[in-house]
Amino acid sequence: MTEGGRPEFISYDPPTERYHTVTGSAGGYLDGPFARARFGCRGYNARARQADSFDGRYHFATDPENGHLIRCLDFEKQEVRTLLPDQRRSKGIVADSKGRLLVVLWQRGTSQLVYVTPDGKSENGPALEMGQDGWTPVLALDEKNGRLYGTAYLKAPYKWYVWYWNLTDGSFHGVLPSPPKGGPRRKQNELGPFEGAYLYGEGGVDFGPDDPDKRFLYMGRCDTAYLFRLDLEKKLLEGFDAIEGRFKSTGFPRSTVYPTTYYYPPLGWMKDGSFVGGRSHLCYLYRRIK
Amino acid sequence: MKRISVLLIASLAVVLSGSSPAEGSETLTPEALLPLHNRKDAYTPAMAYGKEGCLVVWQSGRTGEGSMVKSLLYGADLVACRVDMNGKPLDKEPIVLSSATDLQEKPHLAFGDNLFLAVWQDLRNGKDYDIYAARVTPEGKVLDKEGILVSGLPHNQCIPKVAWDGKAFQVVWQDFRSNVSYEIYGARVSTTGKVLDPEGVLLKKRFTSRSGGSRYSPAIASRGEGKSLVLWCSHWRGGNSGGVMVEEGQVVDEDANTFAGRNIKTDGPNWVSHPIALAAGPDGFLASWMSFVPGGRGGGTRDSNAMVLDKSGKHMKYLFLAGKQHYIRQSDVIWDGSAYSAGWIERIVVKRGQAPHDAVFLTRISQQGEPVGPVHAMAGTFESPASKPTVATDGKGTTFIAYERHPKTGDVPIKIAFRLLRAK
Repeated sequence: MTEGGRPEFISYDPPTERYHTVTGSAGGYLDGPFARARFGCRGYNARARQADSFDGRYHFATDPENGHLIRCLDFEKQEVRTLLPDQRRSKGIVADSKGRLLVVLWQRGTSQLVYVTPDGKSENGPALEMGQDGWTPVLALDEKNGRLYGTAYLKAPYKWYVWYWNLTDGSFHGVLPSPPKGGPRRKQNELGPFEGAYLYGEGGVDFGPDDPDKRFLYMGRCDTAYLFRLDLEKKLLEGFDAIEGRFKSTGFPRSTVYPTTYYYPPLGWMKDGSFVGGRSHLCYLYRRIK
Repeated sequence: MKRISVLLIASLAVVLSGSSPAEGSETLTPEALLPLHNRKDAYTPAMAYGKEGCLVVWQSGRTGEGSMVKSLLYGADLVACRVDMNGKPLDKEPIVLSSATDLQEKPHLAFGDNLFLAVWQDLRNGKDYDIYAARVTPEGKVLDKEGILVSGLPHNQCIPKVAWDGKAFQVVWQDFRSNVSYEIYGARVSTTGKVLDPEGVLLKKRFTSRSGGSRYSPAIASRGEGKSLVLWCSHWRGGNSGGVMVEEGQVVDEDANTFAGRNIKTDGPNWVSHPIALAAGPDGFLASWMSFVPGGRGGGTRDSNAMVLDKSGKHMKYLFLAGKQHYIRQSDVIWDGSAYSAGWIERIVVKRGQAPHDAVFLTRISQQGEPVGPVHAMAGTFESPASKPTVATDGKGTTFIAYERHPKTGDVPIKIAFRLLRAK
């Protein structure tokens, strides 16, 4: 989904480096064929969340200007439809391997997990314990361990940059702590143990395709343009050093290898472990980082 | 939120001030729809006036048929239709300008020496965009069915614009041949279909910086005698917009861009203002640009969305097309013989929680940049938006405006709609 006021979805094909409009033209709202479906825009003040189905048939996106409705792009039928049409609250989304979309309806107090299928059938999951409050979470799913990781633009004061919900009982568990105001902390972006990490702004999280044990949670941060990685086993904040060509867990990340200026994880993982990042006018392909 | 409120108020004010079909000494014809090509959706029209009517060219279709799960499918052709002075379509079936493989997109059109020249970006090579052109007679005969390759170097040559400069067709485009950043190139095409500058002429090189410093979306207008003014927008680290005067295909005044505003002053076109639209009048030029960009850092200009330039391309005055503050997108401008006609879209908010829809507006502006007539709300509702307007004129007070008319339901294709504004 493009920014800058173009209500369109753009595809990018890394092998040919071609990118084109897939669907969307005039602004507004209309479900139907790719050729004439209409969307609102996302923008600086209107976060959209996106997810791909496990089999690649569907792409899901929240449509902030249309009340955060979930728009489902069906690449088999070249057709757009709306899921949960009555749910106009801000929401985070992520897809699982069973063909379902996990939707977190996020608001003050208790939040709710909803499972929805591409044909629109929905089923409530557990109520989610809210450790802190914020806007429009970015989600990453660990099905092996039954965890739903989240990060968001949070209302201060908050305690956790990154957390997870237990998918069985909805309980909240902090992962990457945010240092208390005036408390001990390292320099901004300095790598090392989770405790004492100090980061700027909001972020995005995602697991890579070559990590079945879900040990490494990748993370981008707003405006920072560094690619971080959370080693969930060793509880280390790692960062990519483009000059050394590796992730490291001390010092600082180097080079703006991660191009998105806002709050997104890598825009798309490729089968070989590469990921595609993007920004306003161009898309960049980044080769696999080990 | 403050910005959204301002947008809403400004948009409603324009809707209320405009009236249809007639106000003052200006009259509007009812909307007519152009025929579809093979029932394919119609996108991004461009238009030019010829002898006794207009030629409208558009992109027909966008994606190929079938499943796109494993691979993306694309296919678009360029088609056209003639419209007479009464706004009546003259062709029952669109004329096919190009049906080459893959995509033909973003057409633009000019008329000179009794010929139309259509230019577009073309992906028939399957790798990157090239610039193609085709001549069309006023009778609707396509003279170059395979297209004329204007520029086909490695990497993208795209988003072309064309003007008749009195001697030849001057084509301009953004060019990635550097494999680093986009630069502005141009080439002339003769009425015999020969590309007079086969290598392309560099009109503005990229800004040298680590981040690239691209130049984007050139606009061109000519006052004849082989001269054209070319404007463009820049990458945000490469300065703001700029322009050059081109004569016989070569840059003759590299400093024509004295209008270039600074983003922090928000007075002129900045790095998010593209595309720019440009028209030539008897004493100078009118340029307009996108001023609506969703809120946050680096938004569009707030203090203007158009400017008047003198014959040499020097900035004279900033203005709003509607005569008061409003945000616009997708503008197009033309000199109608006694005033500039300007078409654009605004995003209209009907109710909270519902996305703004696109609506098309049209007005006339004097050479000095003052409103001449009312702002006409031409088309566009939430149920059936209108977008991508393009304007042309007979030079005698009649403005032709074509735009995408989007359907109320998903089973109806997007069509090209058409209206005339007659000013007495």
